[in-house]
Amino acid sequence: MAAEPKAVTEDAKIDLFEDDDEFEEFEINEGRYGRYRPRRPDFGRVGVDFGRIGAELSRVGPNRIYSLIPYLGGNTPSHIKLGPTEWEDKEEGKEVTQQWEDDWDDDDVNDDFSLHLRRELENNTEKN
Amino acid sequence: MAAYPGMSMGEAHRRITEYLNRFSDAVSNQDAASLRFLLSLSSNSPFLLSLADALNTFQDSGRLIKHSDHYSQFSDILFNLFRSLQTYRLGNLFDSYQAFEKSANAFIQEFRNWESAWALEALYALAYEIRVLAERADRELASNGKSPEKLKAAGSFLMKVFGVLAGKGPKRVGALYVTCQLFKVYFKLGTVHLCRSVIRSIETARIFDFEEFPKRDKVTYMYYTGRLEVFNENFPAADNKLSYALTHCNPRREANIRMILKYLIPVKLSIGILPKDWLLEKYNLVEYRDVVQALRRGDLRLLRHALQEHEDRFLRSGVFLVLEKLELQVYQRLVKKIYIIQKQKDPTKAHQVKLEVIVKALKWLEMDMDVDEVECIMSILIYKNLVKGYFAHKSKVVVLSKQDPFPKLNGKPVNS
Repeated sequence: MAAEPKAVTEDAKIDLFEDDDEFEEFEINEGRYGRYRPRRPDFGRVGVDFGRIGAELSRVGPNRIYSLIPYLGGNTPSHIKLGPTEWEDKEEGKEVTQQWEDDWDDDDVNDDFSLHLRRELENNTEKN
Repeated sequence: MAAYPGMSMGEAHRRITEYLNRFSDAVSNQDAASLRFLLSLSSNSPFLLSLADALNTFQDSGRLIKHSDHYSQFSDILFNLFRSLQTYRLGNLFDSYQAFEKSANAFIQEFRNWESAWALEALYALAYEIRVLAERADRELASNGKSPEKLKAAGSFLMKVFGVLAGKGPKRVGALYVTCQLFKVYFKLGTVHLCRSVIRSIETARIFDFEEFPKRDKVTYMYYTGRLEVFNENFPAADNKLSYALTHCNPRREANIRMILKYLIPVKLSIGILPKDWLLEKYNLVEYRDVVQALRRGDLRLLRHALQEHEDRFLRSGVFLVLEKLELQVYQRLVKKIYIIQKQKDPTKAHQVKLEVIVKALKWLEMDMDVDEVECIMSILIYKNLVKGYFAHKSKVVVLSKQDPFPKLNGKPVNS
């Protein structure tokens, strides 16, 4: 899609892998769900030695696992995080009016640009 | 990368067996979240990474898999998953993808037989992983001077998964997530025309009720289909879809909101609606600021400058042509200002605009045009109903309609 000239084929291949605007993955439970509700994992039953994490787990119990996810380390991708993140839809009317203007096309010519335009048109008329 | 040097055979054996038990427990307990964790290679969780080390140490995991009936039934899934993990750990992404695809195919066969939709969440992880691993495999291929092909293969696999979900049962709510993964694949490959068939299925097949799908998938779906509408210059449809995505997107997801706005703003501009400045500011879309200002003022010089300054960015996202076409609206605004200025001086003659006056205004805006060229542009404005009036050709004057000479777009794009 880009029109910039690319020098080497290698650059062109790298181009293949790019969509600058790839939407970020939402978490599994993000937003309202409808009928299907996934269950939280129960790691408590498994006798795993996570070292420090294991000690934490046995202390707080399996249901607190989601608060401990940062401790598991690695690049935990967003689709693995646990716990619902609900949000309410914005009140459509109110939010929309605050973001956009559709009556900007008024008859006001007192802004700098318009005043300058007027001077330009007057100057030229005088010259003639 | 060598296998973890400090791991004993016994320790390796233990870790592998632990994984196998967790896998079979997850299936027998229908625990999708656990299963999902066990499939997420790219997460680089310490658990999976040390399992990979264990596999590279032990080397004969096939024997362990056959050890118990609990997991030998999943031997195709597990054997290939282990190979995928091992090669992933050793930095061999091409082999890792190949093995993962085999595992995923075997998983789909099992998935088909599970009647309820309990494993959907695990399937989502599978769909995500196959795309991400394919991307990395392709990067590896390209860096070795070979032709990338795995992302395309992942696309074919995802189509297969879509087919499995496209039925009357409860699994069908998973189809939109898979669709969105397909969109990401096709957009990355630049083969967006392939989106058409899944879109048609989602939007016309009777088994699907769009409202049943999870909200996060609907938002993602509307974002991508909205972008497609922008490419096809169907601005009213683009407005609907991108606005839906904007309204329903988690407000905390600022990166995603920014992406939606990046495409929605040119659409809104094309139908005569301007974004408020705080919106551009908040989401760092200041490349649109001068464009908006140019429309407000009727400042053609500013529009050209804005398009030049951010040309690369606009070209990359594919909105350059959309913005360039705003020029007609900017002309309309300029001529309207000339008309209002004239009206203030002499209301009786204001509706007659000499082409020469427009030429002078354009010259001031560093646009050198003669009277004929200006006449041409004015004809276009009249033809497209941006100006109501007619030419007195001999006297080189545009005679404007006394009523509403500069009709507003009212939410419709110019060409309609």
